[in-house]
Amino acid sequence: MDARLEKILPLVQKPGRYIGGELNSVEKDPSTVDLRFAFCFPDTYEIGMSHLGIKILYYLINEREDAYCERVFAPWLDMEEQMRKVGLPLFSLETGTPLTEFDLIGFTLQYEMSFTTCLYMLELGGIPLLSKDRHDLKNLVVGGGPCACNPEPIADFFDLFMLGDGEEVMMDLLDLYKEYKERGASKEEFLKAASHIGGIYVPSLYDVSYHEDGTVEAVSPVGDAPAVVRKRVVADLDSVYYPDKFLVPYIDIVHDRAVEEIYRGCIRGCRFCQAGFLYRPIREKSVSTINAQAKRLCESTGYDEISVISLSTSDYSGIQPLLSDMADWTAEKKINISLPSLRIDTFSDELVEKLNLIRRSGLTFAPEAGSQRMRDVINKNITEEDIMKSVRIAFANNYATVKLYFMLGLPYETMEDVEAIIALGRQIVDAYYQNPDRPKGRNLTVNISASPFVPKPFTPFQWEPQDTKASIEEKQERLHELATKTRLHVSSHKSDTIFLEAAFARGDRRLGKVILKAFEKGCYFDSWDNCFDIDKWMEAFEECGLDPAFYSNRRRSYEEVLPWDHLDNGPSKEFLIRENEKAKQAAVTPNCREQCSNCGAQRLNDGKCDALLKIDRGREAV
Amino acid sequence: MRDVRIRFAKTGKAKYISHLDLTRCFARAIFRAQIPLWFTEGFNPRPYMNFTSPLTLGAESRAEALDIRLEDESMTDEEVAARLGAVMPPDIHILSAAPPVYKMNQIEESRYRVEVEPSNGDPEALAEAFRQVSEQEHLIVEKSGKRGKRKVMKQIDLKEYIKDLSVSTEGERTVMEVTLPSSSQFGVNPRLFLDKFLSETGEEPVRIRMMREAMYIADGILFE
Ligand code: SF4
Repeated sequence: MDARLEKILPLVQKPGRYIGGELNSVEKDPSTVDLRFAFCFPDTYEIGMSHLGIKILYYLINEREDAYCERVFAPWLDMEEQMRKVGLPLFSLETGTPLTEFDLIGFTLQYEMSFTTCLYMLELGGIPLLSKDRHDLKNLVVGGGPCACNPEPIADFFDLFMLGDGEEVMMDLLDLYKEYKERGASKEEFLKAASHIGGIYVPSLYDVSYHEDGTVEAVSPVGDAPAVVRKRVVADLDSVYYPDKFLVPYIDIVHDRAVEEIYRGCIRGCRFCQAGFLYRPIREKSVSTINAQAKRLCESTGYDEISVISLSTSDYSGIQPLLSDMADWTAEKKINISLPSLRIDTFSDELVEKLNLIRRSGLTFAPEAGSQRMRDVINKNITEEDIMKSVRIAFANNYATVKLYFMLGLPYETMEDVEAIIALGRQIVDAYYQNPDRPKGRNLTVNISASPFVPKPFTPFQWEPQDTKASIEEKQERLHELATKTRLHVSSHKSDTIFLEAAFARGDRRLGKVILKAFEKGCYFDSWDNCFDIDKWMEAFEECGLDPAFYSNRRRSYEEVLPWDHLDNGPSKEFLIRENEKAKQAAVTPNCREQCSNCGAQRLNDGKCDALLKIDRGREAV
Repeated sequence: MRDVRIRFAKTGKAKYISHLDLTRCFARAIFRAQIPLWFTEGFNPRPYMNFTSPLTLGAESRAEALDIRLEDESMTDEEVAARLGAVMPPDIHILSAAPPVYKMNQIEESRYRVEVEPSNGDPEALAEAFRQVSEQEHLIVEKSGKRGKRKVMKQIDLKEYIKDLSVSTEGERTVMEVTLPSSSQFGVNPRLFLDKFLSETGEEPVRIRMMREAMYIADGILFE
């Protein structure tokens, strides 16, 4: 270990964040590989290590004999201070190698508010922030993850982005990089070639022109770069790489458990939900693959909890057989199954009990909107009866805590819709006290969380304005007012970060200046409330002559060229327009298992989509 | 049911692992090794594990101990050690597994080896300076302790607790070996000891290393 690091570790909180050496971390001799990849997560160790994508790609890259993938996380403020004091640049956990030694520096972009933290990590690593200031092929800065679907605001900092599923495109990228590195090719030559790999977007090969009003006039490819970049889609989840081990951290992280992904995409089509559209088309893993992978993971990690994840677990076509299979082997090994995103009303009482489906912390449920009209606007295909049924199951199982998630400021929302949130809460309270078998002497707690809505690209609401701060605050006040003297506890998200999140989500390339300026003013770790400083951000916008409201609160016309129109992430514009028009009528769209709505994502997968599977995956397992 | 005492070394990066994290790490390792652990009864059954008192963060050890209780007696000590050894993170090494001889709470003191690489590159001079410090009449330090639930600072005289101190040099390093109390009631950690010697000499070392070499019960008998 570096002597400077040894010296400062005793001086920081949680030194375990900075040492690596965890179980199942990969040790290689760097001198024996051709490619060194720094996998950077722009947040703390505890958050980064909880993320599934980093684990998949870490092991996938390390499967290659010619490459070594090491992890880098953002040092917390106390560590940063010590590192600067002793002149220690940002380093990888596996071998303590400075960032400047890596061929590729890859960031996973999970949320917009981590953009400045990417800059912070580059700067702490001594890497020039702007792509144009990095002249060599070495230290190529690449990005992927959900925010890469519209990476325009950070296009100045990155050399290329990977769109869609990372497993295959990453391998193609490394093959090409190796070839060009061996040949001693220039960065320009390499980037030109890389732009022809499916799913790779090289922003410097596109010129953006603007109208006088600030909207985009055109995005034009330079040379022979493709006019439209299509995201990559892994066709078969049964055969695609999934690690048989996970890094097992020493220190406590946010999600410290084994994780098994069961399908990608979502059949629901909730109109506010970016993930629901971005990961389409639907691709399911089979029950037998899931069981085998999950078992192996528990064995190699020693975790006593496995989380079965997807965007909406109950929609997995083989959910019943899967859960009964899993219940058998997990019970024997004293392993808990955790099932986020599950609708318990679809399960038998027996299964609810057997799997302890309602966690000790109580029932959580996301109706997202209070009124049926509003739930239809957002295409959240649940009725009040569905909600009440789940709640009654929870009460019958002796639970007296219910947590409900809602959004405020959804498109086409009125004050009556907001008030309906409280009405729904009251119904739940009534249901509890009407239940003669309710737990004696225990009062019900209903927690209502209402967070402001952020419109995102590749959703039907990508043209819609975000509700203004004043309007959101008015709605929050109304909720609190109505909740007094009820058993409802309302918590509402107060932070200003969501207004910036909205600007970056649908931003254009001009925002790069703002992000750089804000970083220079000391903005990073913006997703941490104690680090976020709205005043500095507003200054940065002003000094760049840009207005965040232009991006967040403006309604776009369907004709406007959107900054991400040259990036095809699956759903077609026609489909999104259709859906937004239906939203205006509060008309619902059936889920994909009932009927395909021709969202367009299947085009990227040779016309295939597992939502259309006629066979019941469940039967296959029996 | 039978108890097995695991002896292990915690070196390199693992020295930054706190006691709590180490507990979790072993629970998972035992699970991976498929060792049939006995679980406590009750609503929330927990595997039975009992560690020696925590080592100060930043110190390594070749002498840690952990008692576990096996549900199924048929697994031999050798097998427990081998299975566990195969699944530990890189910097935790299983040394042995055997039936406990003494009780954990009989431990009274530990032998430490403390290495210091001086900033001026002269380990002989630092050794001499350390020897002079050790000859002072008192070595008063502030030690955090607990009074009831409250954390309090109290003053102790290290001189009363330092036993069998030897100072020598090895290559670029000044080496001190010392025995300090480490019972479950009262302990002096090697960091406190070293920091006093550093502050008295004004030394700001390039590198330090602290290692627990052995643990003893009363009368200097090796803990097993
Ligand atoms: S292709 Fe059809 S079934 Fe598949 S996700 Fe799109 S709308 Fe749904």
